[in-house]
Amino acid sequence: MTIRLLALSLVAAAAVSASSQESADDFRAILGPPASVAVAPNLVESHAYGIASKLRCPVCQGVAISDSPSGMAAKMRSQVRDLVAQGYSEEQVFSYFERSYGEFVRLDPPARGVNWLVWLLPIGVLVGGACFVAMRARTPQIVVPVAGPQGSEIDDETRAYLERVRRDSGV
Amino acid sequence: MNKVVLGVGLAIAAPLLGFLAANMDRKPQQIASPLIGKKAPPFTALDLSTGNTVTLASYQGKPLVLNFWASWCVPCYEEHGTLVRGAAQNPDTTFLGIVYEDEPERIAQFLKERGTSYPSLSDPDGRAAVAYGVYGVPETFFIDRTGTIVNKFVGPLDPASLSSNLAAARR
Repeated sequence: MTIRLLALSLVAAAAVSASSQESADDFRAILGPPASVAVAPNLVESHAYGIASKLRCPVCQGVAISDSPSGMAAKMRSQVRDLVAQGYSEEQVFSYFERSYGEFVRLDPPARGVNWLVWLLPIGVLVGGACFVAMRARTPQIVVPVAGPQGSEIDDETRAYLERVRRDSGV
Repeated sequence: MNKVVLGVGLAIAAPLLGFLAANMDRKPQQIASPLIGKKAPPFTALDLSTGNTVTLASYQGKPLVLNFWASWCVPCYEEHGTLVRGAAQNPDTTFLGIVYEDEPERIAQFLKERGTSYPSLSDPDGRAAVAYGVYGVPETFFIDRTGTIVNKFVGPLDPASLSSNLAAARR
């Protein structure tokens, strides 16, 4: 039993280092040749992080794979790094994941088809609201005269004050 | 005017709320796989019983049942018997298990206790799982003899589901 477990562990360890050429061949069979030149080794990590921050972790709740601690996200990040290092463009990396998970995997849905609603609806609501406010501001307000106190209701002191005001203001 | 504002507000908010409510219970796993009807993505993995590197191409020419599973997954225990019997009863179809996020010792223990009638492959870097858009386990892909994915079954397979999906893969 121990020997069998050891053998299985060795097999698994060998699997971890499974030929990168075969993996590269699998990428190429799915995506075709890389569209860009391979990114300089010191830039791979930052370039890959930028792409990973736009890919949704499929086993999490609305989290980018760059921010998820899940094992699946770690594996996806590793694949993004491999693809970037091999010279695949950002759009090719997106299409690699989109091919298997659909558009759901993109945190920013691309502006096409019904997705336009996501981009245009907030702008439409904003413009519509601004127009509504502008129209309301332009509409002349009808001032309803408020009935003032009748002469008999004004006491002598107030009447004298009002008289002074009228005199002073020349009315 | 207030009624107009209320009407416009409701006309915008009601469809959005309705859309959100209708999709509240949807899980990512239930999103239809974009791979249905397309060529199965190539993969390179290690056969855990022989230690040999295998590729999808090694199995083409026969209908293929590709089951992603793990020893920590309770529904995988439920469906294991169905798959083992299915593989034994359908020698014209290839059955393959691809291990998802698991330890070799645990896989060995699982297979020792429950037996198997088909190979299990190691996918330590998750390339096959990502290429097939796996969200969790168990998920089973049915591939016809031309290499086209005819269906993806999410959850534990029961004999009736296995039978109907096999029939589709054999057509």
